[in-house]
Amino acid sequence: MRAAAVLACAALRRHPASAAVLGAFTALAAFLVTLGLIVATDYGSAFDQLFDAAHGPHLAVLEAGRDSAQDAADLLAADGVEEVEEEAVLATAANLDFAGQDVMAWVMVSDLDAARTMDVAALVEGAWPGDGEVALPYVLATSGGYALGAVFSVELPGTTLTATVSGFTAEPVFGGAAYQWYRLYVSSSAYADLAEAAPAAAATLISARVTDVADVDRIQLDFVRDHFAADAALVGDSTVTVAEVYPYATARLGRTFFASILAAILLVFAALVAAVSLVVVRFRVRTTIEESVQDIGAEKAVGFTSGQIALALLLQFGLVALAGALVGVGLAYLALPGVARLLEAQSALQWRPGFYPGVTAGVVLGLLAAVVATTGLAALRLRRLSALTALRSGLPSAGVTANRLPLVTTAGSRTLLLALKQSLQARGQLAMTGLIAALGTVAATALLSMYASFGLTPEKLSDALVGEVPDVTVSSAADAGAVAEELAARPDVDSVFLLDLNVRLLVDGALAYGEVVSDSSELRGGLLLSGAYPAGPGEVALGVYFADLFDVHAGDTVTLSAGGVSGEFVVSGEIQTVQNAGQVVLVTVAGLQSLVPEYTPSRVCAYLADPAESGALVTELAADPRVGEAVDFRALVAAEQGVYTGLIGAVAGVITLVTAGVVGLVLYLVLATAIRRRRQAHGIQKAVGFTTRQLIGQIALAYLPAVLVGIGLGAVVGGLATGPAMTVIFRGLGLGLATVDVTANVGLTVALAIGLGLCALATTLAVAARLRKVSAKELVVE
Amino acid sequence: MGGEQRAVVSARRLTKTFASAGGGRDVLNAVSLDIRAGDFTVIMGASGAGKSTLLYALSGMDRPTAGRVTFAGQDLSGLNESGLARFRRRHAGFVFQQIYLLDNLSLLDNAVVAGLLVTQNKAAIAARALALFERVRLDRDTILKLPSQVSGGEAQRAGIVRALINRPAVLFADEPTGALDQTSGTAVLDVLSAVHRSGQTVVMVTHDLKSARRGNRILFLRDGEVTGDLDLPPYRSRGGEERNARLRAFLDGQGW
Ligand SMILES: Nc1ncnc2c1ncn2[C@@H]1O[C@H](COP(=O)(O)OP(=O)(O)OP(=O)(O)O)[C@@H](O)[C@H]1O
Ligand SMILES: [Mg+2]
Repeated sequence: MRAAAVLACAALRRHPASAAVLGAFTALAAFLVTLGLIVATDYGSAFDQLFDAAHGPHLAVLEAGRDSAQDAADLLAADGVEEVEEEAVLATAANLDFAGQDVMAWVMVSDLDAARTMDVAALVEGAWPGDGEVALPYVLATSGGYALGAVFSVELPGTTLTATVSGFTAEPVFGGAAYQWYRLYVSSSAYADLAEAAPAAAATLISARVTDVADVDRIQLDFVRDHFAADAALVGDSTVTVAEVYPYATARLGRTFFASILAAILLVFAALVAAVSLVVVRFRVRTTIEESVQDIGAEKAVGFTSGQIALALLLQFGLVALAGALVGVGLAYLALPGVARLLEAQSALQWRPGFYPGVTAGVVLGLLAAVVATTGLAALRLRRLSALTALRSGLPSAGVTANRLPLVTTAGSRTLLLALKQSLQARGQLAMTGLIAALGTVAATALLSMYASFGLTPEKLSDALVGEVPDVTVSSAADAGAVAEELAARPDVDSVFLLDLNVRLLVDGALAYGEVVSDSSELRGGLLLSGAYPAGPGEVALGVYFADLFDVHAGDTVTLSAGGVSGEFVVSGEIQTVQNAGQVVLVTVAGLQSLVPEYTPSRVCAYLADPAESGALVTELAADPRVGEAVDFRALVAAEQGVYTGLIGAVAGVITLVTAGVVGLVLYLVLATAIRRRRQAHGIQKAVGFTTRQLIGQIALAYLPAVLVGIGLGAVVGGLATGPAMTVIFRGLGLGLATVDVTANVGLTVALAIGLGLCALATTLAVAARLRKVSAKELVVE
Repeated sequence: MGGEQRAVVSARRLTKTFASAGGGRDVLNAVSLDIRAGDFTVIMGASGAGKSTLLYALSGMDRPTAGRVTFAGQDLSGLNESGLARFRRRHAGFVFQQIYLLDNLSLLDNAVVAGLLVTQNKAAIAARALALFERVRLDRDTILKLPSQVSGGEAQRAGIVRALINRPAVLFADEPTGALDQTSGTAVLDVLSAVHRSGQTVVMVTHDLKSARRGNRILFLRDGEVTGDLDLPPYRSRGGEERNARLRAFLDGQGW
């Protein structure tokens, strides 16, 4: 053991750069896998702890104008429901300032002192509100731009709530960025005043806890079908919230899905980097054996056994891997608070990562075991090496045994043939380098494609997230038709249609969010997944969620219920959007009017001839007394998406750099080894009259094509596979998206490939410059 | 043999200094000499006398610290590294003690690859290589083998073919038999004698008397200076006792 340790240390001292490269790879893999595992395994528990501490409701029903005592009793009677609680609240759709933007959100105002056992509020920051004060969900601090002491203002029907922010609550259900429900707390007296001034906002929150979370979906479906199917109030304008159901899973997903995606990305890259590390280990073990074959022969001749020499190799690489893994894990722990803060901005979850002995030990031991196993396998060839052959430098596979591609009889130029022969000799390393280049390029291309699809063409992300993104929207409850006609007559307006969102209906008894359109042929967004938009009053397009739930597709019929009337509709196609978790149905104005004749749409949408003019138009429209609100909708959506696209852009940039770095490092390792090993051959070539430039050309020709082919293949595969892969991932997330339109941006992908190729070329030339120092005369001087 | 012969390589005041711990050390000390076309010049001297250093300077393999070399009408001091490389491939053939063939090329290809540096005409080069291999008595089977699969003597004869492939003005050899046994060494020397007889200028560094006999001019080097210069009648495989005695006397006089 001691003898082996001495050999190992000597070897490490001899090649510090190779040891550093290997250590860096291991550290990177350990870093990524540690972060990924901790986020993947622990982030959800932050939500669960919050949910349990608040005694959160598995099912929350908001309703107005109903016999809530009866509804609550019915819910309690349902199979699997454990506890039910009722609370009077004020609930409304309202506009509020969110990160500097005027956005429409759903707001629930609660009396701080009302008796409640479920969704018990806890403070994250600040104090409970006194008179003139309000406590907001923490997400309004992390994403909404509010601070303690700021003035918060929201319009309720009939009055305005204006109050100073006294504190932020760790709201588990009504306080996520993805589902814009915000639960506010005010003092008892303030609540009483508001309730009197805004009777139209009066609603009841029925909260329920169940024995088994798996039953929530069934309980919800049954409850909605039995209670709301005949409800006359189901269609209304957005000022009255009549029925909202918030299942636990929806809340949990909304708060953790970003973390899940991050963890998945980290783990995928960790796996890639770990694979690269092991390949590099194998390569280093083999070259170490080949390069030190005479030392090994001497060691064997002196009496070291193969076992001792192998043990030295295991020690050598094991030590490097252990050091790398420890550094990587340490860095991961250093980075955790930053990751927690990054996620907190989106999820408003206060995650305080601790120490994870299982993950830590698993990562370190796992990487160590993998490296040791790889080393052991690669070192098996030591047994084939007798002391004598080793001393004569004749490792069986190291020497050339056949004259492949004889120069005289093979067509091709001298340089090409010499390079090809060198490639053949190094084919294993070339395959490794090409594969690594390909994998890195796939990853970078995938992220760049996402960035290009979502970041450079924000409409694509909007299509996926919002569905239809007109340039300008105008809400005008009174006179939408007239406003639409006037807009359509303007020369700067390209097209106009009416599109109401969030209209409550039932589809085959399940609560759905209707999107009601005047003329579906005007829709330009990405809602449609398959089939067609509803062409006439008798047709609907169904959200993927329902299509999957009821297994109904284009050509089938569904029952739509609204205002207490039900009718049969033919499904014309399927639509997708993450809005309302995909629980949407697209119906024509005429179609909804066949159930509720008095229904009139209120939201006017316009596409402009020049989208850049939208700001001016919005300012002009805001002055119109008939207009409730004019929104520069595309700009608003783009601003909301900025966080996501910025993040994707940052990750894409980092991964591109990492790929370039990894490809460069591996190429450096392979080339430096090759040049060191073939130093004599290059000296001979120089003596015979080859110039340095010819030798550099030969090396580049021997090693670069494999890398370039890897990069090219990676770019093609990454470009083609990203869309389908994203579709699979998003479908799996159950967000209401069945397919995500991610297509490679040809320009960016080509630029990436060229950039990586240039990076490989630069590395090759930089390393090959060492050939300048190889001289003919040193052949004879030694 | 006389002064009427053309000088193919002229060295004037060649100095080579290697930096060492105690300052510079002159390994060549203002050496001036002419290598005459058609001669078989042998350079002798004690180990460390500077023989190899002189050979590199003459052949354009290395550059002197001072002085100039004119080779085939070309002033080598005007050439940079790659210029020297391009010069070497056309005008200087070099045979090494350690042979130094490229291990991934057959003997034939080792010769051909050097030829292809000068011409793209593969067929012509291959034909010339085959003719040369015939002259050094290597058969078809042998020349298709890799260097690791043939004997040292066979490999060195291939080394000579490689050195001759571009019809160099001068064939340089630095102890070409140093790594070979007696029989192989003799075979290599016979090849050198034969190419010399056919008109090839040869410059060979050697330690040993038997090799030195092949030359018709012997230069003796000591401490970086040419201290002796002997002309001999051409070598013949038989007889020549008187010639050998003159050589021995010359070397004795040089304190060899
Ligand atoms: N690159 C170098 N750097 C420093 N000193 C050198 C270098 N090359 C040669 N020398 C020194 O110059 C002297 C002459 O070397 P050279 O190789 O020319 O001798 P030589 O006559 O060929 O000897 P041998 O018969 O042993 O081959 C030696 O003392 C050697 O140590
Ligand atoms: Mg020498």
